[in-house]
Amino acid sequence: MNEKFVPKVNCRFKIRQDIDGYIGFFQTKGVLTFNEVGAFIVSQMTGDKNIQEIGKLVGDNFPKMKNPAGEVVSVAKQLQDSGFF
Amino acid sequence: MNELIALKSPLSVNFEVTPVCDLNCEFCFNAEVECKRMEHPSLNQVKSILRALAKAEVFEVRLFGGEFFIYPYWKEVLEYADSLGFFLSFVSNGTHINKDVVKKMLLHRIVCGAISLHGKKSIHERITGVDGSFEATLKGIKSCIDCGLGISILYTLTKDNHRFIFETCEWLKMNGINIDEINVGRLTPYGRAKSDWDKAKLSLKDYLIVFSQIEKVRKELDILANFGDAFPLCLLPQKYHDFVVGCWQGTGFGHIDHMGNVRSCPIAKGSYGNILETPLIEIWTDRLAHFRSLKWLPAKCRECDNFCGGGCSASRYNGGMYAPDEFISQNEEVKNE
Repeated sequence: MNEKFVPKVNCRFKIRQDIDGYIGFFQTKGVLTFNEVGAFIVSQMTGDKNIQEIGKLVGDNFPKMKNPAGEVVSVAKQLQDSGFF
Repeated sequence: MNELIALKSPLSVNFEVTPVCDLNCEFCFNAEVECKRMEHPSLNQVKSILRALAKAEVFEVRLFGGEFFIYPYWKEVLEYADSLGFFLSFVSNGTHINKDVVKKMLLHRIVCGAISLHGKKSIHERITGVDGSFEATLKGIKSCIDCGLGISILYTLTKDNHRFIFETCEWLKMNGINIDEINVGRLTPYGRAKSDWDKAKLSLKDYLIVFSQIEKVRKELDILANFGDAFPLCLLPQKYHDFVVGCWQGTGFGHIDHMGNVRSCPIAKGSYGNILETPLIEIWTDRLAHFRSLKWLPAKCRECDNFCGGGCSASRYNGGMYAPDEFISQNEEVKNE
């Protein structure tokens, strides 16, 4: 998966903060749990930003994170493997 | 020890928009409210309940009844619920659904729903108590399928119909009604089913007949057949375990009645509180803590490695809001801590 890839979750979804972490509800597909960074990354995967651009946003919002682009790729691969793209 | 996870609010709810229904099902869990004589709640009240659900960040609302599509303002409810951003779905007897109704649902982003069908014509109408209800329900199912709306059939088990699941699915397929899924549901001792429970209840042997038919429907008809409720897995052969959908009541799923009362289960009666008086998040996090602790289950369930939730907590006669499954021995010690 290269940095120009534009991830777009292929169903309607919403994410909420819960008691312990974040929960995403994906229409007809099910429920996924995330940490704060993961929730932020997935919420950006709406088809208008590529991996590099999302990585930049992650870096800006979570400055302590060491490899934001790597984290975005990791999340994107997990979603891709689960049939969300 | 097993326990259920705590969420701040349900992810999905059944919202009983109206208690009114025009069928007369022999097992109806709502029978004690005399659903034909009840009055519809006001649209303002329905909207208030939807706003309370939105405030608690509930994701999905399954429009439920009674019968949702006889509510005089069902179109306004769809519009309003959609405007609040909910994922919408419905549970219906199907008798009022036609292509115009389906178009309205699609317009408000409904992509799937569930319709009750309890057997072929003679059995279905004996259960619903209404002549012509079979054809009306089929017409509703066909309208959904023809317009691309995914339908799951809800088949509530009775002594009368539990042997005919395969036959019903085969009939649907032979008649060109291509359903996505059938969910077989347990008969529970609430409402009208409670009055003659010793005669009405299904035995463990009956349920094993049900599971063998679910297997046959999957293998021979290529329809996704599931056991839509919880069942103690320790009482089932391993090959049937994957057929049991289970139940996520009290954690991810809840039920809201037409007055705003919160239950964890659509069937079991009682209320944990009213969302028009107390925020749903407060009700869900505080008042269901004992339920989620599972301290009301026998130790063998709480310690089980293949945890199934202890079966269906609404299945035991006089079990109140929750109790161990009817097939879990009453001799098992339950320590109320």
